[in-house]
Amino acid sequence: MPSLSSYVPRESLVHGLHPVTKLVYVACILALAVVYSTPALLVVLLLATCCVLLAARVLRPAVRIMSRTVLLIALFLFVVRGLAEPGGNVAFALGPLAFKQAGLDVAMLISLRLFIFVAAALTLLLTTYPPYLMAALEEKKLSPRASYVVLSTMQIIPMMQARATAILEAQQARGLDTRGSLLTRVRALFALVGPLVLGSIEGVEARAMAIEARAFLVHHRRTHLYAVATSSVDRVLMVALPVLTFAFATLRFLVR
Amino acid sequence: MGESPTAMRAHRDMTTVAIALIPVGIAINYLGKSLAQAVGLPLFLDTIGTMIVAVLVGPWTAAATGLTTNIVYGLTIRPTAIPFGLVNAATGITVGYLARWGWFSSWWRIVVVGVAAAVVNTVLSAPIIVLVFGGFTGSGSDAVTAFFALTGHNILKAVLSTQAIISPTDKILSALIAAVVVRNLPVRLRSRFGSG
Repeated sequence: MPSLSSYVPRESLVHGLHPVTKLVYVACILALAVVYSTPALLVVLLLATCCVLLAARVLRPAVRIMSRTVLLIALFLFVVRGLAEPGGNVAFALGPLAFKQAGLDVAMLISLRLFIFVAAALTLLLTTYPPYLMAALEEKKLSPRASYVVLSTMQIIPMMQARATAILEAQQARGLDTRGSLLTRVRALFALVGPLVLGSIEGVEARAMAIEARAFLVHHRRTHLYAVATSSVDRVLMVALPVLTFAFATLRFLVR
Repeated sequence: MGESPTAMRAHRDMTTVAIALIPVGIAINYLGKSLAQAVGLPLFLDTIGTMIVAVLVGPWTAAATGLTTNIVYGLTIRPTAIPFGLVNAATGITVGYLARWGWFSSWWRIVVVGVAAAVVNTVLSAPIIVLVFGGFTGSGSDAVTAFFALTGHNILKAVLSTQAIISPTDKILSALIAAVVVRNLPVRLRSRFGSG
């Protein structure tokens, strides 16, 4: 059954790491991205995260996702804030359009930080199979109900997407007008959402009974199908990463 | 077993059926956007599921639905959606309490619920959009924000203006859809969930 996730199965060092180690990595990168406030340092940080993505052999999918999400934001930031930022001196001008230095600086900082955040998050998301991530979190005392909700959602979304397409086509075959005036479209929306949602909610009762029959509500230690191993590399990294982060952060404050 | 009052309220909402409903609520949130696109409406419609859960079960389960929606978005296609989890959760809490206090009893009241949700949404998401994203989120509303920013408003005002235009329409329509869905559920099913 296709489940919705961005996981890319590859053989790499990063893929083999414990999910919590990767979460620690993301937290450390975020901390540094907040502490660093000059473009030069942030660019270095971004390059570092990209190197990790390369080592994890997921650089290309990561770049694809980053260009889909952050690139557009960065574009708007540079153009709009560059032009609209009040006051300050002009950095350069393209004909009648004057780009302010202050606006470009803000755009640069925010864009770099967003790229870094997404790159770090993708290092975790592209290399971790969601059930492993949930099993690892449950070991760290995450409620199994939360883990059920996340994993179950990832499974039913593709199913509901298929149903939604089927309903759309069925309604169109019955003459549903999805063009036309605004009011027509709103009515069309009701005709689509209604069957989809009602059908899904009716299935919820059956799901609830199914999971109750599997002792879902029992407060007892569970055995997982997936055993998530902690290797010596993990143990080293879990200590090394925060220490290095702390060191780099302090360094930045000392070398003002 | 001393739980805090909030935790106890949350636990009271959460029967197994409620928990089983959450993924469906999230999926409805997720698909709302695709459905809006299929019909060509320039709206988000990403809180219909949260609102349905809010009316059927209660505010805190709806909050969980909202929060987890953004986490799942983040885990799958848009890591940039994660900071807005609390906004979606707050919408769930607002609509849940209003539903409990009888605000889904007539169509005009439902419109008010939509407006309230829009206000909560705007107030909470504007600071995140400005401080974390500099004003732009990579969605269709960016063009509107750009227009306001380039015509002399500061970025916060631009974002607030954009939200003030788009959010009420989006939330009112979502509330109406949620109400229609809940009314068309078999009565047996509604009582099964809790608030009914």
